[in-house]
Amino acid sequence: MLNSSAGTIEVRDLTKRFGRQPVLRGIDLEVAPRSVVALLGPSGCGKTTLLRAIAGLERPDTGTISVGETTVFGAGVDVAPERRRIGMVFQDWALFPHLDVAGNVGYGLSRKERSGPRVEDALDLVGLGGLGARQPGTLSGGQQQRVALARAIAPEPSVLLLDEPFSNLDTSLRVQVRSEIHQLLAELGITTIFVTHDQEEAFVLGDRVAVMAAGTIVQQSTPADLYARPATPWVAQFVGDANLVGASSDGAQASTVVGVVPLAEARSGAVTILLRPEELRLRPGGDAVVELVEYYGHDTVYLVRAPGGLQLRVRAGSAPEHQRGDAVTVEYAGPPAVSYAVVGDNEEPFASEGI
Amino acid sequence: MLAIPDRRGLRHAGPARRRPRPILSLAAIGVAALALLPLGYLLVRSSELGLDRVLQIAVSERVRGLLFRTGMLAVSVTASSVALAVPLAWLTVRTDLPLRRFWVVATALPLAIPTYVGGFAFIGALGPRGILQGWLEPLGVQSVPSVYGFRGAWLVLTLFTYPYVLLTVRAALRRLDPSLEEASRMLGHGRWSTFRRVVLPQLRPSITAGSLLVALYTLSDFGAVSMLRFDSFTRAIFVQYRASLDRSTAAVLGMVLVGVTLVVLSGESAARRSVSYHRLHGGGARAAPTSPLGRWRWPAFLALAALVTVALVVPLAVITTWLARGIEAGEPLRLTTTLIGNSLRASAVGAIASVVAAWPIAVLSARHGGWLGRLTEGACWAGHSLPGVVVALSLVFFGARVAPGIYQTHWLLTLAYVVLFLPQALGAIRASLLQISPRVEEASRLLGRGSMITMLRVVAPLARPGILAGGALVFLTCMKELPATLLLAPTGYPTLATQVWSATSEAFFARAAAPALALVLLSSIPMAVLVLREREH
Repeated sequence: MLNSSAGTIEVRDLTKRFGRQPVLRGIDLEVAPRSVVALLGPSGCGKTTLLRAIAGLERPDTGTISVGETTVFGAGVDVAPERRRIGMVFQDWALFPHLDVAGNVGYGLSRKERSGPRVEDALDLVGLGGLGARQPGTLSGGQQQRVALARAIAPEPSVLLLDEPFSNLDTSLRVQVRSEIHQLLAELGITTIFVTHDQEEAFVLGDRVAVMAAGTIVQQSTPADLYARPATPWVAQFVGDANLVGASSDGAQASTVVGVVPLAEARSGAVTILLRPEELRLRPGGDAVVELVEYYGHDTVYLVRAPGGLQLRVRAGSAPEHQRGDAVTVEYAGPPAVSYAVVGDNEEPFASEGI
Repeated sequence: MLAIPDRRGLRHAGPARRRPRPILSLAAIGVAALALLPLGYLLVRSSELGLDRVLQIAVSERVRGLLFRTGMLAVSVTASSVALAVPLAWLTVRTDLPLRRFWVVATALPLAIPTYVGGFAFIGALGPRGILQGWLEPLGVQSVPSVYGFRGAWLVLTLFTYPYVLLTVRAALRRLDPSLEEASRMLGHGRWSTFRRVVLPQLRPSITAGSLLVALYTLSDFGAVSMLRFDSFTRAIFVQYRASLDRSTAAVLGMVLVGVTLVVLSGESAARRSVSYHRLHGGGARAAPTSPLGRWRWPAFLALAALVTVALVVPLAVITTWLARGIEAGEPLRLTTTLIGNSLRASAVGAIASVVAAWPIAVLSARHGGWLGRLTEGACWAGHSLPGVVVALSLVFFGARVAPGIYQTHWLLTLAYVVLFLPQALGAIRASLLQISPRVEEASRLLGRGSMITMLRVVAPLARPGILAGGALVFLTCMKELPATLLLAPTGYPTLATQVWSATSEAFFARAAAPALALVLLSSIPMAVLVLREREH
């Protein structure tokens, strides 16, 4: 087993612009040792730039980055990437085509280390033991990804960075490879940051998730917290299916088109309420109409047109119980709901974003 | 008549393969036979001596000496070209060199100067009765180090053929995946180590390809080595032919040179077939990182300036100086217009003949495929790879013995041009034809037009860009061609190229200047196209 060392990553007030275009606007991020943090956001939000800045491949304008006890950027310091002891797996894996698998995995080791068992240990760890003599071009996508991972961890870095690690795999492979990597990361215990635009990936692999948009971190928290208590309506619909319902509240509850809904936080006046599809129920008979039925196998989602014109997504048990055209009533059966004050026309700049 | 796809066509994906009309196949075979004629006749002529004598000549001390000297030249020119081109490629593509975009173009420009014009320029500058001699004489210096021989040949050939390596390496550098270099740095390797261990191995195929191109050019070059009096194969063949009654020896020398060329060519195709390091799959479209040069910025700038001065400014300055001197001394410029006229005529005929000859093979290869297409195309490339002096020699023998009617006429010269430059037209026309959908031809046939008319009224007009491009390329190459024109043009028919050569050989530098300038200007046209296309990528 490879020794795993852990380190903290601390990013303070990082800014960067490409020409006139600001890409990072004051990022604050802290990654606890041995934890996995996902940087989640739509394309163009700056998550890859942040990752590359931590790696030393992009030079930020202001701010500080520390890895472990060392400041690698800031206050006149800019440590070159080859001296930061950070392992990185690139989106296109970047395997060296002119070296075989063992040559790739041993690339970051000294000559003495290469002749020892380290290369074979790393390959065993990722499940590719014995494939050292193969050429990277002859391996499958999943295998190439594992070689890239083995290469990054062989030098025993304190931090591991993954740039969209599964985007290059066929969708059918993704779930399986994801579970394997999840298992591996848990065994290794290295501090890990990975970048993704896929909410599912971020939630499954990450201990904490930082949601980014337009160069800032909008919310960072555990996946459960993010899902149950998103900070803004945009985050709410970015991290999962969401019904955002307008209503008028009088403090502890609000009357909506699905009836009276208790609020988690007291608010008065016009509000937007978050109702997750799995927290809504359908009863036969009523003013609402089922417009569409989406059967997923493990559950069913109904698109229901409520009186007043609002379309709601309702998620229910396994087999479809209602059909297109049925008259139903929608009810809320969840805990006190998250609500957001409606402040004039102050739309969030990225409220219309979505991947 | 509807086209019925044969069974082969049904097995493959893509347009159905019809059997070609007999006249097309015959024409293609005829052209292929013509292309192989020089090689064939050379075999015939040298076999006349009898196997014993041939072997005797082939292993004689003279030939061993030629092999050694020619080999040495090829190896050293290749080595110096690579040593020059690889750093230049890096500097002009990956660094923050001052005026980088200007250097990208300027370092490739020496290709526009034909090697014999380069030879003329350096002899006119450094040779006895050259410019330098003229400056130093009043100071009491009687002689300067000789520009002739190995030194001069090596210098001139390196300076004017290194761009072949430069262009291939630069194209490869631009295609490199930057993630690989970033990955190397993340794994602890600094910039220099990354260059050595990741970038250079990926450049190896293109360096090899460029080197082989330079080696082939050095082997085939006639103008520069003969003017600079370096005793290599091409010069020996020419001298042997002109000087002695026993011309069969020249034929044997030609065969030996062809043998050496084939060895280099097989190396080239082996290198092309070896593992090519493509990206393993498409990555992000990230621009390659620029390396800062730091305190090396201005030294690099000065080094490049020195190179461009020697390779471009000095030759052009020498040519214009001699031109000015010539005009002062009252050299008739009328002669130059005659030369241009002769060159234009010969090249135009050569271009048209090449296009016409290339057409059946291009159609066969692009539309019908199959073994006949590949065979005839291969025959054309075989003729193309022969050194010009060998082709010319063989055609002289052929003309003198077999067809005295066309000996010393334009026909033989045109034939030489076709044999040498056919593949240029072939490549361009074939590419154009491949872009025309066969459905268009089928539509024409269904509307009642026969095969020949379809070709004339539908295919040829659609393939016009390729025809024009191929014709233009052959035209320009014929303008610059030297050895075949020297040996085969009718007496009293000098061209720009032969004038530069003969005037320089007799040290009448002023007479060589105007044709040399004209040739450089003409060569710049394909160069401009090449450079523009490089910028596009």
